[in-house]
Amino acid sequence: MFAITTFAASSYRAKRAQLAQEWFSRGEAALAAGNADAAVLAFRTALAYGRDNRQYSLKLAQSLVSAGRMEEARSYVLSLAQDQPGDPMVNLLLARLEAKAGDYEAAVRYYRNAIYGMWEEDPERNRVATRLELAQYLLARNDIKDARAELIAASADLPRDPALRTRVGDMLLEAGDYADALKEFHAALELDRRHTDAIIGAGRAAYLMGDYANAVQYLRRAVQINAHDTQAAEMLRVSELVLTNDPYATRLSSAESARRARRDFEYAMERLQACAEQRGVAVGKNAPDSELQALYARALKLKPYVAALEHDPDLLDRTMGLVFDIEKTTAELCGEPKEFDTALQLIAREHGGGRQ
Amino acid sequence: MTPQEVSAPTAAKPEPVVEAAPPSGREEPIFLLLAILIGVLSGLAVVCFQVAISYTRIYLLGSSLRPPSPRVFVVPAAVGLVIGVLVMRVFRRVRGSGVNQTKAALYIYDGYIPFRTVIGKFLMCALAIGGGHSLGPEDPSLQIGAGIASAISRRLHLSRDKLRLIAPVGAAAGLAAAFNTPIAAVLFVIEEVIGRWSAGVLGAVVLSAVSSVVVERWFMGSEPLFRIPTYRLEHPSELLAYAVLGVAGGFASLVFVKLIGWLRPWLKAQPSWTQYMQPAVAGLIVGLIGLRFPQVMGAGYEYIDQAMHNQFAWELLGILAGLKILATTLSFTSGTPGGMFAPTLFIGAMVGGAVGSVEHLIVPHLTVPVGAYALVGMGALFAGIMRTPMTSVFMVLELSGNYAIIVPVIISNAIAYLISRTFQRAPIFDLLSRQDGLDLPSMEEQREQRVLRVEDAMRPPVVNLHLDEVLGTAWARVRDLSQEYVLIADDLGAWFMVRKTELRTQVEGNEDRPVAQFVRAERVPEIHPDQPLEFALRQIGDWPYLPVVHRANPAKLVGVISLADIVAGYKRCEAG
Repeated sequence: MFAITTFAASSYRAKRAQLAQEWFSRGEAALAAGNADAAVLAFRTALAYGRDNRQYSLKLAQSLVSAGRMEEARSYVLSLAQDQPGDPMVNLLLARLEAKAGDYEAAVRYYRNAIYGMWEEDPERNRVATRLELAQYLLARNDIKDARAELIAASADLPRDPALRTRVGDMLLEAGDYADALKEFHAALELDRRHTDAIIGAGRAAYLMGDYANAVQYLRRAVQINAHDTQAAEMLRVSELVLTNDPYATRLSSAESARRARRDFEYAMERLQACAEQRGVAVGKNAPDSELQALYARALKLKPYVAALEHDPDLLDRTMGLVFDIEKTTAELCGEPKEFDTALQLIAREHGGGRQ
Repeated sequence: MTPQEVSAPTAAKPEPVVEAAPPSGREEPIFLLLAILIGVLSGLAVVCFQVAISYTRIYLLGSSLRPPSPRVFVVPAAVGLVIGVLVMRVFRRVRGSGVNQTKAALYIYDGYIPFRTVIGKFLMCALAIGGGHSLGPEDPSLQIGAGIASAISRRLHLSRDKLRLIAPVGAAAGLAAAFNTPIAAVLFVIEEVIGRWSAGVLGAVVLSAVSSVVVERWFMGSEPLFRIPTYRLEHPSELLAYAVLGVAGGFASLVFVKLIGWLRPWLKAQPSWTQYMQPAVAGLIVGLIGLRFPQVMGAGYEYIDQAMHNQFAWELLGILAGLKILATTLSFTSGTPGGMFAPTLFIGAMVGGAVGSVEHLIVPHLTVPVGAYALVGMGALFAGIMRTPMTSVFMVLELSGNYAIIVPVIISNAIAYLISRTFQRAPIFDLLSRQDGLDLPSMEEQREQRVLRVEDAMRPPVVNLHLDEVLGTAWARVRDLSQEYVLIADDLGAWFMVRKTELRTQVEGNEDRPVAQFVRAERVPEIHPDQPLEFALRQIGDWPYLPVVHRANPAKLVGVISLADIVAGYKRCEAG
């Protein structure tokens, strides 16, 4: 009887193992095909035959999340966490569930548990990926300071992968850390000089930092690679306008500064008149009763002296101050600035934009 | 006798006479060794049984948790048809769960269970449960173990007493292996099958249960049937929640027992040709339910695990509980062989989960996980249906390995038990045995029977003498008493009895001499007030009365008791 039982039990164990693997494979195929409900049934069946298999359990949890069965997924993952509280994958799943449920503190806690857990396979890559996921979550929650901290930490452990570097750079841009973002894009470009996203990213970073000379270089390359990238094209044009219309640019002669300032002044006047017309304000009245009328009056007073800008730096400052005020007011009142307006606003931001 | 009664142990065909050997002194140590052997063999048999059920399930219904559409109702019906024919024609004794059949073997047939019954139970239950009928393997395993024990003991020509005791030993082994809970198995056999405790029985039962579990775990691994969630009592107010669960469990168990109690005799009263068809019809209905709710088919352990991990919404939990009650009732009452343990646990888990989920909706700040309710619910339904209170508590403790759960379990089990007891006088196994025309002893009634003691029947102490007392004084004390016999004590607490007339004949001229020198007194056995009245009945013999003495001071007489007093005590108990 012992022999019969031994034979029966061992063949049964083998059968169970075979069925478990078959159903697991079916589950993976269903998950890959986007059929989450079928994947759930398949993984549950696999678990019925291979009860203690951690991989099956985790896949079931993932498929429950994919199927949108959040409560079931949460309960299931919590039960896994009871058995293996330090398991990084379990903590990562919990973090995603808590993030979906809106429990910010719990989500962050579980993300950090996952980051510092003992990953069995490819620990460095998994840790970085988890940290980036946490950073993305923090950015979405507008927790910029913590997101930056996580991104800086991730940057220190990044493998030699231009795509990852670029991704970190993009997230740093989103976090407002343009300088570090530019460093990441440079690092990505050192690994792959033709990496499109890194080039665009570097251009954006330089643009946002106000380094329009570098921005133009990167953005020209980006537009060459992808002519349909309208955002890059627009940034390029604006950067070029800034470079060609900034009277305060270094190494400019006084004549060129004056010429630029006059051009800016004339454009600003046209912008003012167009805005007044748009708003039905009659400029040129003797008693100005609106901001536009007040600006116009100032412009009229200054206009006769604009011809002599190259001889009077104070006059240049007053002229540019008026230009900046006009751009600011018309942006508020009439919106939809053109690229030249955007360029003038950037010049104003760069140089304080103070009134005179 | 109607044809449907042929499956009952009281068949018209006379039982084979079991030739039992007279008791021998060497039986006791052999009995304990035998218990281990029975445990091992029962464990092996149960392993094969579990494998047979699983293979049957895989090959008939497929390996998916959701069987494909035509098979899900064709297979249970076809299996039911095969079972109906075989049970009516070949294996007539395999109907029912196996618990009552084992009790019948113990109380009626001197522990005899035909080995053919064991084979039939194995095959028919594997087919039924594997084929999708809503039944469990534990009760049949109990009978298989008892049958193996019966076969071995007959081979060894044990005495009649041991032949009777061996069936429960095997029963405990079978149940322990099937359920993987040796303590609960032992308690169940003692609570429901034997009904009494004694060191000899307990020892053998424990040995066999442990042996079978060791064997079962050797082959099948030690992973539990289902994963139990961690539980911790956070606040005493949570116990109210479990009390509510006890109420729900009590009424659910009532529904289940009442339904079986009504449907089973009705089906048995149908024409005999329907007995062949009833399992098939039950299988068809179960299969049709299984089209939408495959969880109700078979034993259902995977779904108990899911309920304990909050994988079902409360509405589905409630539906599954109701459908399982229906499916199990149909499968069981149709005559399909199989057990009720697993369905009871399934219903309990679903009821518990549903109650817990609803309570969470009503009182969101409840910290108790829903899985804990499912776990406690299993115990509550077990207490309400099986009416074995100790087993239901220890089963949950053994499954969970967590003593923190004991208070909630006791509360909900007690409430469920009381509700079931109030509205359904007879427990389910007593009900089934009466429906089969058997008058088996009710273990519940035995548990509740008041044990009469000597103090319930004794009379106040009478005047008694001392051996060192002088005859003159002694005679003066007893001369006017009406009793014919007088009790005499010595310093050591030994008691003697002497006729009053003898004192009278000796006292003349010996008034100053001690009683001990002149009186021929016979030593009389002493009893104590707390001893069972039955003990006094055995000791009274031809004595007119016996002294009832204090345990701490045997020389102190606290009462006397005669045969008439003993009979009067029993009569008062019956009348009262």
